[in-house]
Amino acid sequence: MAQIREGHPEALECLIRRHQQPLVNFFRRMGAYMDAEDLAQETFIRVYKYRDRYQPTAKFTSFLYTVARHVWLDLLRQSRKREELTRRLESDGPRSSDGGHPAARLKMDADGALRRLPEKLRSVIVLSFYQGLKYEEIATVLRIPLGTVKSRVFLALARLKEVWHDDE
Amino acid sequence: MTTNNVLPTDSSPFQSGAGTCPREADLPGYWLESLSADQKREWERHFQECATCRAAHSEWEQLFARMKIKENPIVDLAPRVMAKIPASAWTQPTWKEWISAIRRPVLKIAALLAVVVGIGILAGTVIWMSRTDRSLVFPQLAQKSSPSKLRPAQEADAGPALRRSLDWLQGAQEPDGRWDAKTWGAQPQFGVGVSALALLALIHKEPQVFASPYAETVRRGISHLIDTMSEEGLMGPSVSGATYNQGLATLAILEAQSRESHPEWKAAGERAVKWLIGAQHPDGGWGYIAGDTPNSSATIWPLQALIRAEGDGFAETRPAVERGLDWLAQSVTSSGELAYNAPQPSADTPVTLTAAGAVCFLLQQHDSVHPMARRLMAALRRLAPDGRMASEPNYYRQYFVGKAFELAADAETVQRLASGNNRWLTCQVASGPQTGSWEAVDPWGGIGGRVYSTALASLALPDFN
Repeated sequence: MAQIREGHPEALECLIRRHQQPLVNFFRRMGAYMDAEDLAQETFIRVYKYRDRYQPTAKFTSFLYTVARHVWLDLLRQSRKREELTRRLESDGPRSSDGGHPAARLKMDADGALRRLPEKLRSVIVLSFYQGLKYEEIATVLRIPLGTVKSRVFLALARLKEVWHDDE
Repeated sequence: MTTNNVLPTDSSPFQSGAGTCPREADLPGYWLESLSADQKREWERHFQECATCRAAHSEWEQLFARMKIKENPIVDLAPRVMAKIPASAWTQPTWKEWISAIRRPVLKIAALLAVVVGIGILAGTVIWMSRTDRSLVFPQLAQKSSPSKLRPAQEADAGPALRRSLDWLQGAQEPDGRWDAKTWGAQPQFGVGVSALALLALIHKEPQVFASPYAETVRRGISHLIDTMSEEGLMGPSVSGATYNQGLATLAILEAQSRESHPEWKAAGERAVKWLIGAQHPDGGWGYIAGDTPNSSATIWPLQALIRAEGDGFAETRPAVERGLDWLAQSVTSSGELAYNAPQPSADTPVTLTAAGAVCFLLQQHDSVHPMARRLMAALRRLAPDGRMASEPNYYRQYFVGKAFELAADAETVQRLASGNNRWLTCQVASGPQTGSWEAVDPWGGIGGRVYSTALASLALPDFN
């Protein structure tokens, strides 16, 4: 980030290439399968725009996912898009019946189960399990107490278990 | 099943445990948090004592296994994002720089004068400034005098960058001689391959490596490779991609043995070569694993290793080398590029494969250049005129293109590849704990991680003067 602030475009390119896959995965897990790359692109543009707000003492991933979270919430706030999104949540992603690789079924199952979680629970499980953030980082990104992160993680996992149990 | 936003009130949804435990709610942290060894041991002890958590542990484990998702790759977003940021934005100061500039004494005086002149004039000045190129007002803001923490692309002498790379590789080695795949972001089945790449970088780039500070690093690394060798001579696991591991590791052992002879290295090299010959497909190429359908990507490393072995006097390798080269020749398209395999032209990597193919033919020690080498080099000069290629970092491509032009004695192009404004040269970390390493940002970074990136970038850099 220091190099980006100093005006080095190649530093931003390196940063994008380092974080783009996990960031796109974040948006996919949150439920925006088709929009994930556009949302990741918007996140990187905002990272550049708000480069002065990054504190070098903080972990960069905390800053990145804080920005990403705002991008995601902005999308949800747009009611028209929210309706469209709701439809996509029902229809997006590969289907287990597509005859593809066995992993495709696993993928759809996990994505489908995640979509059944409330947004608050989905956020903590995506940030912890899929993005590898520590609880403290998640607390920073979501601006919630550490204890709340722990309890939401527990509830989210319990809910996922219920979802799969009921699906069988 | 309908699940609305009502959160479950039962905080202990796992019914198989006996009773409840206050630590059960913390149990997900066992997988999700990076626990120290002591913390893990503490949990293990707790599982012994607590039936509730023991039962929950088992159920959580199944749940986490089910949650795994195989991610689909994405397109590179960098060009799209960069296109959205005007080039002029990079030369304009940030608001912090503005504040910093205004704090400077001379400008303080200017600001005071502006106050004296009057609020109206000040307001007018502010409006004027906002509509003017700020670098004309505060030229010092346009001069980025602080040194970059990435290696500047224009650095004339690549020696310091290479030294930092090799030093990082040395520091990243584990005490047992390996470079740990997981620690540095590589896929675990390629641990042998990335260790071999690190060794090849040290061996090739440090002149007189066994008289250098890297000597013990290389000896330890070679011993580790040999330790992984099976009775059949295979190093690393017998999985898809084993031929990459074996080709690279065999090459590393042979290169080390040619510089410092050890009976056990020589014996290991012979066994490794024997495995490679045995894994060769009857058609002459190599697949990702012994007997697999051949492709040129999997063929180039075993073939280079056998060519090297032949140069070291391994007499039995000649027929295998000839069959390998014949197979490669059959995979060259009518336009002179090396395809992934004969009927299937490669869409994404013709430059890399063509350069790698040219390297294999150019390594032939004959009085005249192999005709196929001429053909592949002609295609390479067309695909990458004067070494010019797509700008995104690709250490693998950079290495093979540089090596091909080097073997073709095209020094001018080799120099151009490693100088100027090539963007890959800016991806070396210049501060912090990973100083000297190269960011795993190229198309293979997700497979080989930071060790692969640093080793290939090192190999692609010019030699020390």
